[in-house]
Amino acid sequence: MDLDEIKNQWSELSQRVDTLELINKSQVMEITKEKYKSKFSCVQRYEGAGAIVCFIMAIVILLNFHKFDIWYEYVGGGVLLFLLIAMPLFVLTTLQRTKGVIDYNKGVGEIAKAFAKEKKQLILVQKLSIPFTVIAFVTALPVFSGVFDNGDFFERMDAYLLGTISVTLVLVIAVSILGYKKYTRIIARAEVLIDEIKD
Amino acid sequence: MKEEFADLIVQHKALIYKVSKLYTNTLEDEQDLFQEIVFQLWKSYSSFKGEAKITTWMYRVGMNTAIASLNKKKRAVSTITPIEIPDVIDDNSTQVQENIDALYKAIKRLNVIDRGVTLLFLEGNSYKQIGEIMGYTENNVGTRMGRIREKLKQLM
Repeated sequence: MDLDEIKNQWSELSQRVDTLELINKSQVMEITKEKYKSKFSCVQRYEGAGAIVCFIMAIVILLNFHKFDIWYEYVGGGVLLFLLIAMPLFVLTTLQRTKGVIDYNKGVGEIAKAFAKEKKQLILVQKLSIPFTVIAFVTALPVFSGVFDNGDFFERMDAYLLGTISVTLVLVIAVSILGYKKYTRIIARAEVLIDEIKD
Repeated sequence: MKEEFADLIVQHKALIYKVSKLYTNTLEDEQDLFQEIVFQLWKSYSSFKGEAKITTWMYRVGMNTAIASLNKKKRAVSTITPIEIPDVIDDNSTQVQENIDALYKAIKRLNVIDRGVTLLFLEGNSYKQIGEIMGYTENNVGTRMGRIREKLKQLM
């Protein structure tokens, strides 16, 4: 059967569909009252909460910078300040831009093309998030030791402290990997479109 | 605005029905998708500026919703308004039933984009109109249609 024959059958089907009582006005009104849960907004909320925590930590470091007296506290403080401010801004900006691309008023092809561009940055965010989280965690230890006037962090290091830090580091990495997987799932869903536009 | 929107949906219910049917395999998923599309249309309604035809906009939102829902396990809408989608065939014509089943089966074996292109073609849209709705060039639609014709010939 060729497409023109199919078209005839389709028009017959369309006539039947037109006669069906599929939805009435009151049902439409009910639907407009429903609440929407976007997975993308959910990720944005988590990232937003994380960004607030990062900014509070950055303010604490800035207000206590005068307490630092060892070179690695200064260096670590600078690095950590940069990470705590730059990373959340980078992540939130990328998410906002990607969300803006997914506009249901646009054609499938346009969305896929725009998303293919944004995908690069989203993948970069994924890749950078795990090592940067580890760097931030390791840097934060001597820096916050300086902030709370606990003296030279490395002089106080003992087996118990080392064990606690190691366990915490594993947890931090596990949470980062979970976040990474969340991003991967979002990209994988959008990938369906991108792959097919390449045809 | 809600009244106006409700009238629009009732008027173009067949369009939503056809998109829902093409992108789902069970009646339950079909009902969910139908409702999801109505909801997405409502969400986008305020941003519809009337630059495109109302059906162009409805197809765009409908197809984007359908494609986005393909890999979702749960509905994005939090409560369910019961919508009963009746069977299209209400007579005893088994031949018509068989033909329509075979038609849907074949179209559903196309990839998600081609399914949409086929639907728009069967609905009587020109390549140019299909391109506008899907966000492709007219040439791209023509190339796709050539491939779709071949595939459907083999499938039916």
